[in-house]
Amino acid sequence: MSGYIAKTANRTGTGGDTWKKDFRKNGILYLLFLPLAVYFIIFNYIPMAGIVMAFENFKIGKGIFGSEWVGLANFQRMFSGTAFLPALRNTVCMAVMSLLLGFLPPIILALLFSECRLKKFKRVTQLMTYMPYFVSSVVVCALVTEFFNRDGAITALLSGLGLPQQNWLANTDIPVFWLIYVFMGIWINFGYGSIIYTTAISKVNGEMKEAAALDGANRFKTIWYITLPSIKPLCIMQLTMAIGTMFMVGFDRVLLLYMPKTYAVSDVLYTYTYRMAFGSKIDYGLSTASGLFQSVIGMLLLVVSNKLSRKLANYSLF
Amino acid sequence: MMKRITSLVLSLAVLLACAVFAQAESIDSDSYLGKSTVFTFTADTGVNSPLVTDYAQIPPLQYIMNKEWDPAGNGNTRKVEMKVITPPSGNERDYLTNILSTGDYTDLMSLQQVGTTALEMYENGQALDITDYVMQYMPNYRAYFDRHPTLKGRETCLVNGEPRYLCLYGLTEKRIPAWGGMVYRRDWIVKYGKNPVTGEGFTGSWSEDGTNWTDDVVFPSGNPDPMTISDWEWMMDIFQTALNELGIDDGYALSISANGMIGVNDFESTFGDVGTWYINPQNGEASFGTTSDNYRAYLDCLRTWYEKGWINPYFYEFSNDMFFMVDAGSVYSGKVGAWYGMDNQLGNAMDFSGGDESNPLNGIVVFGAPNPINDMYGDESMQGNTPFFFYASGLIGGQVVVTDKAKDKDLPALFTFLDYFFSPEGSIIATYGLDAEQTKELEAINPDSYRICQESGLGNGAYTIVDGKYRRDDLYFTSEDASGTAVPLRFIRLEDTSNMLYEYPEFYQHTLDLWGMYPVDALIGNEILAQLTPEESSIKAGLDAEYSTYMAQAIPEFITGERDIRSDADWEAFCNAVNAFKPEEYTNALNRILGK
Repeated sequence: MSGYIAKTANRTGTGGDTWKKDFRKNGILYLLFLPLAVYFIIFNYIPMAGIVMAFENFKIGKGIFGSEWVGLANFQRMFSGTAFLPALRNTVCMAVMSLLLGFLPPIILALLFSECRLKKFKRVTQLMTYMPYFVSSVVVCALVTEFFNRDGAITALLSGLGLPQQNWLANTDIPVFWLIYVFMGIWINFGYGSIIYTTAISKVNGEMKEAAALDGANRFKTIWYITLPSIKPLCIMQLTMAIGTMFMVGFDRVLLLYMPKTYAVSDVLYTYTYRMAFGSKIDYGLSTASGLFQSVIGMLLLVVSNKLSRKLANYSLF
Repeated sequence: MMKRITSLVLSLAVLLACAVFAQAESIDSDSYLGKSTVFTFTADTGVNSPLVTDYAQIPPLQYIMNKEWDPAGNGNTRKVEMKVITPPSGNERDYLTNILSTGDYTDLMSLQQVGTTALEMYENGQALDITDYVMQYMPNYRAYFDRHPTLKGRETCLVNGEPRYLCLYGLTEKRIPAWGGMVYRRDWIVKYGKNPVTGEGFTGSWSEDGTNWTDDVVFPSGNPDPMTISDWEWMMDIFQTALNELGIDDGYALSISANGMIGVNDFESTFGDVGTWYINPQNGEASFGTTSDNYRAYLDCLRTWYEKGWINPYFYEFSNDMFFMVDAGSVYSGKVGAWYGMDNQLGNAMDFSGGDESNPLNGIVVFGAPNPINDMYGDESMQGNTPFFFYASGLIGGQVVVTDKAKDKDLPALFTFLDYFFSPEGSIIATYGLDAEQTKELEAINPDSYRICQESGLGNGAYTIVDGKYRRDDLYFTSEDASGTAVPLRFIRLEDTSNMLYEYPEFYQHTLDLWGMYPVDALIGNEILAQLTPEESSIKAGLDAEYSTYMAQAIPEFITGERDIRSDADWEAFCNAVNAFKPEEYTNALNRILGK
């Protein structure tokens, strides 16, 4: 991590300095970074040693070094089970849908905010859109359950459109649960997600917009030719990060919304791991194997998206 | 001749047991003198009373801890102090697992909420083999299993082919009455039902003092209670009529769990088999009934009831509800005819209408029912069976292991102390608490404990003896302070309610009798699960995960009709899927433990 900082520092004008010289020059910055580094080392790097449990018949009393080595047996068990593949399919589908449907709304909202002239309206709207993000998942899921219940508000709306009156969360047809999950995610995140774009848009050079206006560009053209290209690196970076974390489909939300009847369409890797691992007996091997599988896939996605980002936008995280 | 053979067999059994335990080494308890007699114990849950912050503060434990113990009987006495640690409420399982995995566990550990077994802990080096200590210092504990020959052998685990004591169990001398079972709206039967023979309406009313309900209800089987499946069908038809008459559109006759069960597999045994693992009362063997035709008959019955609109049409949505509180909102709104309920709902306890006749709870009278006998579904072999599965407290309850942390402490004193809780004198204190005299003794011994007795309202003792029967103080039933501090509930002990004086209203006692009318020894208790080897335990864990997930989806689908229970193809596909989980591996493991 510090190497990365040093390289970044080199790129930003301290070229030629040795690491020690750089440390002396930017000591305060390193000091500021220290707590963060300690945090990551303790909570993110050291626990990685636990990955070995995925290859063991792990016993609490015997510990990591004393437990029996079973190779890929935990993975075989995971893939040969009846519930894993549907959970993997659901995870992939919900992740892709979340990415496709959830990526643009924050950008659109940020553009709308940036064009809004009524300050009071803008503030109230911003507050309303941010709010769901700060509400507990339990409350949000309780609201969603109410909305989609047999006599819920959204169900009534859908019934008005000719769809059957039912508890939509109990519907096992594809892609009903996936859509509910994805739109719930958009509802929760799009306000908060727009903050970073709103900030980026506010940094766009106003003179460029004025020049475009003098050249006869309307608002749409200004957005299309000035604003969007200006925030393009940020968009690509956000997209890269979103792809990298797309497999982390919300454990708590699915757990709160699903029921045994809908496992086939709602179970995701996190809930699968939870259910498999925390039955009457805690199965550390299987849960670690499942977690490791998710992490490896996530890392591969991050590397691929980073390469794509570098190729398409000449910008990359690493 | 028969008597001779029986005597011979019994003598051989005794000889065998003696031979097995002959290896128990004699312990010189005096060699432990000077070692620590302070032990730590992790209970499975805390105390339900704000009067104590530490479980060890409760008066009966303080009273017993003040006693002197003499393991060798040679005058070398010592006291035993127990420091009790209670896990944070709501996170018991996580806490217990954490202390086990970090090695920060205590001298004694309750295994109630830990996802491991005594045998596994022993093999991991965490639990001690306590056989020698139990043999030498716990005669009262061992005597219990002599008094209950059907449980003999379950108190030990097989280690290298030899039975060894690896944990101690909480024991009950006599099965305590069930706290829950099937209940139904008796008032609806009286109001909307007709005598199946005469066609006349029923009458019923509360006694003048309001403590007892009497009516002239007769079910089609000729009994005053629903005893058969046809009684139940007659009853649910009446509930449907009641719901129609009352204009309750969102009510239903019968509530079942999201996984398609009534109770905890209770209803199924009436069809001759149970959709899980159980101990077959006919041969004492572990059985697995999910793929049996009997279980299919159960599902056929529920499918029929669902088709008739009797069962909650959306039962599968209540997956987060406990089996005794399914769709409690509808139940407590007076919209349900029958459900798996609790003893505190019986009689008019749910009448919160305040006299408002338009309230569906107005005049509610809840009665209990036994598991019915199947007289309608399946072939003859599936009918007329005595139900044998009912969720109730077993004779063997909690379990405790003594860990390696205690190995350098005064173990003879510890086991002598623990045995007292199984002695005739100790089990009275462990069951009822302290009497007036013992409470008075506390004033001098331990003023703090005496103060707790006073503040809890049990300053004159937790019980009195009436005509040789033990009568608990009324506060025990009404005050958490009293019930939480009167008895060492979380401690392993012998609970002996054989001579307890029950003074329940007639209707209440009647329900308890109905719930307890059939044997309940089919349940696989903790004492059996404790003997699973790590490999067998893994088999169980795998089944818990995958099999239960599959069942949670498949069974509701059979009931709602998404799978056709009457289609041989659908049933065969289901059986094949279930058999793919290899349930026989777990059945074999259970039979190994049961010695079958």
